[in-house]
Amino acid sequence: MLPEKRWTIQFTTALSFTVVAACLIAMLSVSLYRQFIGRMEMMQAESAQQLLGQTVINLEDYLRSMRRISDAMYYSAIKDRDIDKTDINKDMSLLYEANKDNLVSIACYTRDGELLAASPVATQKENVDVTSQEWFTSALEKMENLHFSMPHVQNLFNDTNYRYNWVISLSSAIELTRKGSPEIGILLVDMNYSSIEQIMSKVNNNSKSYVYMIDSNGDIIYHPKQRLLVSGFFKENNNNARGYTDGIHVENFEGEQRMVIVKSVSYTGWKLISVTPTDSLTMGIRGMKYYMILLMSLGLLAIIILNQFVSYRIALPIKKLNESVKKWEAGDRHPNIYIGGTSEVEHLGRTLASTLSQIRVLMNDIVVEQEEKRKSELDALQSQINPHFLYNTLESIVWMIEGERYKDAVYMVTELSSLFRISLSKGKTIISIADEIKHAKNYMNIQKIRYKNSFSIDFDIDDEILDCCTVKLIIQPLLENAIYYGVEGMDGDGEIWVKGYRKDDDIYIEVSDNGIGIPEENLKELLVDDNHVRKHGSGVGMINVHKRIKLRFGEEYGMELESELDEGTTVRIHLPYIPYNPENQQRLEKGERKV
Amino acid sequence: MRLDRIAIGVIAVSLLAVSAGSAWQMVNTGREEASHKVSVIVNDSSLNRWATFNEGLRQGAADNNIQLNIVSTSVFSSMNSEKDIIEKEISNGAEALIIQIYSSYNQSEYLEKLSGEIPIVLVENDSDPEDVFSSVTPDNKAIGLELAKVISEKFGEGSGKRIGVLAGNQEQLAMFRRLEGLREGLKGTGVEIAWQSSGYSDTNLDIIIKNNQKSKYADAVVALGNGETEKAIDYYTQYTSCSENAVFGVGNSEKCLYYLDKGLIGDLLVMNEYDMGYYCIQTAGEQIQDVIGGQKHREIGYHVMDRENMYEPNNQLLLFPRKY
Repeated sequence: MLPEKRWTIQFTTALSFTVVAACLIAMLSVSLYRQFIGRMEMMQAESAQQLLGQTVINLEDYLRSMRRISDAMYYSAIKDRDIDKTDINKDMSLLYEANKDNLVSIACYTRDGELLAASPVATQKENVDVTSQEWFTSALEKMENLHFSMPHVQNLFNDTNYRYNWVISLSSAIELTRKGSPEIGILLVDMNYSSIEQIMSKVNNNSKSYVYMIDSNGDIIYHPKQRLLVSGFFKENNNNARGYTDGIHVENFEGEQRMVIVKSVSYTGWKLISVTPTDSLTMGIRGMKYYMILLMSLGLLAIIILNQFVSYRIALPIKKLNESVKKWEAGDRHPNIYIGGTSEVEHLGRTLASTLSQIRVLMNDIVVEQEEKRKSELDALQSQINPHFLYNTLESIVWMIEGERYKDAVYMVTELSSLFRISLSKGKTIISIADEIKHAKNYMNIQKIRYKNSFSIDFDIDDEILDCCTVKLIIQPLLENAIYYGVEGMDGDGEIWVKGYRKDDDIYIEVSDNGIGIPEENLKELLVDDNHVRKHGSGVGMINVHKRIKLRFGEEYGMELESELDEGTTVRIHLPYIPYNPENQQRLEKGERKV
Repeated sequence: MRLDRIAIGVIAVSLLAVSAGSAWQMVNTGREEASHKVSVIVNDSSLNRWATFNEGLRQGAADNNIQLNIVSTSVFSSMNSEKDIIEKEISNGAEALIIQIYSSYNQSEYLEKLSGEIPIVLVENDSDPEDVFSSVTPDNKAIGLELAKVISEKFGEGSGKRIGVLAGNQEQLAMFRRLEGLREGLKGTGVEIAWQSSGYSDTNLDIIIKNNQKSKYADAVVALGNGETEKAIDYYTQYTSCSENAVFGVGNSEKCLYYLDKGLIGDLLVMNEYDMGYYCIQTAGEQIQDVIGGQKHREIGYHVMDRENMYEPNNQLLLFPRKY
């Protein structure tokens, strides 16, 4: 299983800061944007309301002036006058001329539809039945009121120039006097529709929002796209709008959300309706939206960069401390522990440095303890040799004295003395090979006397290895074995050879005999540290030598055995090539294997 | 560590891209889209019959962000005179043309070449063969059939009445189809065609009518175009005392409407010229922007008007354009 990949402290810090900052910026931006939109919508609604209010005022002014014309016509020219005796055309013409920019015509009809007077003077169409026209019937229906008709093409008078006029008819029932008798008549003021169109077109200069006008039934009086409505290219929600009260409304029409502002025109029952698609509100502030996005993204970018810097500064001491720990992990026992940064990291660094120092002390203590333990083990191993050797030698000297061979005994004691001097070596464990060879020769001199020269010994040691380091007392046990278990029981003369030579960085010292040899099954067990295996006790010395070499120089060194029955045995000591000098000697004494 | 840096790099680059995009959008917000220039070439553009058509054109141009140029033209004398105007408009930078072609026949090669240079929309009158180029026309044959129907209804089945036909410019497929429809519709109604006059001869058409009436009297004149209807009116007002149901025709000019109101014109077929103008601009806009699925041919409707229904509220808006 792969180790879980963990984020760095810098990345984690930067990411956390950035996420928090991004959320805050986003919330702030959205909140500001919504507030801005709200205010914009409110401002636009207020602006549209003001515009609508102004348009209503203009319309009301215009309609009021039309009503005044109608009133003036009635009160100054018709009321209290006998129509048949008075020519009202003159007064009507004067009134028309004074207001002809806004008027198409003024006319006065009897209840039966007979034209009494009209201005400008024109002939009425032959086929026209005014009594069926809407302005006429509505005037008679509610005689107390003034009536404003829907826009329509005037269908009253002939115009040889083929002209036609869109008008809104203001009609009212009036009291006429004809031949002294009062009767009901109809006064018609046809207002030029273009005047209303001009007022309305002024507020319809925006392509997205528009204003239209309906009557109390919801029929459209004016719409900037009236012709498109007729053709079906455009649809309007006028039927629903007639139920709207004055004020702001929001409606959904044809899949579009729209803000609708309604304002009534007094007296007429007409309503002005301003329509603004909600999309167009936001379209107007699209620039603001992009500005907010730009600010937000740049703000985020700046925060990311700042967070990178801050998190780098925060993480740097921890990273440095981590590098120190990595060096420690890599095996550097004396890493330079970083102590710095913030107080917490500095404290960590100090604690770690102190801890490492304590660990080093403890480890040194353990090494010393281990060394002492090994030394005591070595000493114990060496102490296993001494009783053997001493016992054997003293036994030989006893034999000599008993046989009155005093010279040989003196020689033997001298050799023994030399042997012990080298054995002691002032308590050193590491001695030169030359001393070790001398020690071996002393030993063999003693043994040769004891065994009455029943075997021969030959030393062939390369000079270049004489001044190298060795563990003391490693050849003597092998010679002892060669004598006791090799050549002692032979019929002929036994021969022992000691050969020392260097091969590359290694030294080999071979002890060979032409003795009876060692059976193959025993050969394998001789260098195994198992007390239960050995039977004749002959392996004690060899095992000691083998273990001592390994303990001192390492596992790659030690002894090898080669033997053939009735042919002889060769024991090969393998040592490193280490020149013998005080420095190397002391290091090896301390247990340092590599010099 | 490397992944961390790559992630931060990617985020930073993305934010920079968003910033750049927002800045670009911010700069371009409010910048109006460039409008397209469209020229309209119709026969004698000063005629009052084009008033409603022009109203539709203007509204269409406003709704489709098009710079409209209604080319001032006189009566076309030939296809070549119209071609000269077309070339001039192209050299003036028109991006699309709306054309009422003088002649529908043998123009395929020219129109093919023209449409290769610039989008064209044929108005009222298609070329032969039909439906090759974009066009906005009424069902001209149906107009002819409708005329035959209203005439036969007015005169009554088997009345044996005779009519004179002002067939207009028969080089125009529209007029050809109307005549075709008329003839087809009159079959079996008992109404006979006393005479027929074709071709553009605006200046003396009333004289031609007079001569035809002298030689082969017809009870009424059927005019297949606005100009022809006006000439028929001229004939009756100048040379006769007839005042009712003397003319049946196609038209929408103020003069036609006046005499419809007077009763001289028994029935007038009025095409939805507003729709025709609006559709022409819409089609031209689609062609310029290469809108996939844009309609190639659009058909407009027509209405049968008489003096009784012409002042109905909806018909008023169809017949009498408001002049702002």
